[in-house]
Amino acid sequence: MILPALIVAQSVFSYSDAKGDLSIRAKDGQGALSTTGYEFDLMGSVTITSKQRQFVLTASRVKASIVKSAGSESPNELKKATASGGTRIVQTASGKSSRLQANTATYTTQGSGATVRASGSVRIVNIDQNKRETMTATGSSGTARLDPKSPRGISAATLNGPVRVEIVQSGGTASRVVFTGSKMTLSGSQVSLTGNVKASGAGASRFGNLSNVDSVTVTLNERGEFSRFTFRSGGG
Amino acid sequence: MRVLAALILATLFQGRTLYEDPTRSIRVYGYTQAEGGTLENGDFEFTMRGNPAVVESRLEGMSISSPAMSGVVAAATPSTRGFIRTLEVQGGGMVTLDNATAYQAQVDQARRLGTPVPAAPTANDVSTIKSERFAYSGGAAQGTLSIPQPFSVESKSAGKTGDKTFEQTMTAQGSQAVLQLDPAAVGAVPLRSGTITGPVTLKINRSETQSGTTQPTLSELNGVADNVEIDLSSARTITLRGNVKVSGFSGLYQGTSEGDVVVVTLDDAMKPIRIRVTGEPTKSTLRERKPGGSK
Repeated sequence: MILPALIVAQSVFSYSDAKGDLSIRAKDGQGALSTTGYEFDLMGSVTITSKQRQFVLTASRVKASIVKSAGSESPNELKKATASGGTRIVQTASGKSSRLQANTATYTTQGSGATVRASGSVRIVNIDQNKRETMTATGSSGTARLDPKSPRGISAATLNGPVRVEIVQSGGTASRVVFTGSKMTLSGSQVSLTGNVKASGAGASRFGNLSNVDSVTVTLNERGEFSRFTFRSGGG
Repeated sequence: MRVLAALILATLFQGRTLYEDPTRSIRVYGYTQAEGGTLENGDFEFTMRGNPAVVESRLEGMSISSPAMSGVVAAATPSTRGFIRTLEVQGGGMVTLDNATAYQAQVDQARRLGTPVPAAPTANDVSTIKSERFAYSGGAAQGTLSIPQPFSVESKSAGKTGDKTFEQTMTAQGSQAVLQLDPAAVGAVPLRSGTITGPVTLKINRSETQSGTTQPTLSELNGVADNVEIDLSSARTITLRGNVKVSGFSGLYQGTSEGDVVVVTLDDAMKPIRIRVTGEPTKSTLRERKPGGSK
């Protein structure tokens, strides 16, 4: 059954559940009632905000499925979303946040968090309590596990390459270390790069250049800064 | 086929840079296997194998090569340059000290920083120290080379002193040694002091040519002793102790000496200028050298 109120394209599309947990805005949008909630096709400056899951998704176009969570009177949870065109997902956690940007992304709720598959100029940025970007990782495609209960919003991620990861160095806001490689894996506080990995100091960094390395594992401190790394090369 | 593949791989890895410090003075290269990382203080720690693996400190004119080594490179700070903090070598290694390399790096650094360019050294000194195993520990202005096993030293020096040009070679062998280096010294021999336990053999050959002449004056000093103490920082002496025998020639004279202690005093250009023999008894001979340079 099609919702009459949403079948007609609107100049400003707006949706909010009864409690205001989930809100959706777009320039244009249409939707349909499904067996579990709503199916929306949203276009133009789409913004989906979930207070419960502490994320904001923005994109040029989003096809979204929203469902009712337990105890809710109306659909209040984004179950799945396929976003394209300047996609940004900001996941907040404990005052810190992570931002994922890509040309296209598919968001799928899993448990208390979500999995995002992204492609096209993928960028993952860690932001601390002071709005300082402590890590910026870029790649051509990747996945990310969003988790509002994790220290930085994204608890795990992979980026396929070539990848570039720039991390603020502990103890110096102007010091950064830039890593490049074929693939990046983020797991908790460890960032691993593989495939012809290079590292170089930037800004006021005292670190020089590391090159021709098979793998590097960077350990982030509690502030999300680079504290140390280990490397391995050769020997199979 | 396997040998060929190994050779090709070795060639590919030759010169492959693992790490370079921000000033490009410290370079770690030539490895086939390596692992390590950064320490909390920003130092760079590594263990590597190579054919050979090399750690080079250009500002110090020092290069250490070995098939297997592990060490720590201190990161440069705004007030101090990067330097080799520790290095342990096993399976045969070589230390090379070259003041021309150090001088060129110091000139490059001065130009980069806009500071005065240091005066060029009057001589080029190249020393190599070889041993199966040794360890180096250093700071920004000094280093200690500890050699617990038999080793050899070869040193070549060429340059000008006053109105003379000279060439000097020195070879020495010993059983163990602890040598204090000042690798950052501009235009100076980096060996500051040291003790060598023996038996120690020492040989110094020198050729000096007066300006305006072509005939060089040759000299040679051979020595054996139970141990040797070197002090080139203040007294400029090489002290041979225990069952000492020295022989040699200089110009028209040749001689031998035996005693408990022989102190060889060197001038600024590391030329032996005085030999003092003490002991009970001492025995010395001095005679005119036969034409043709026989001893």
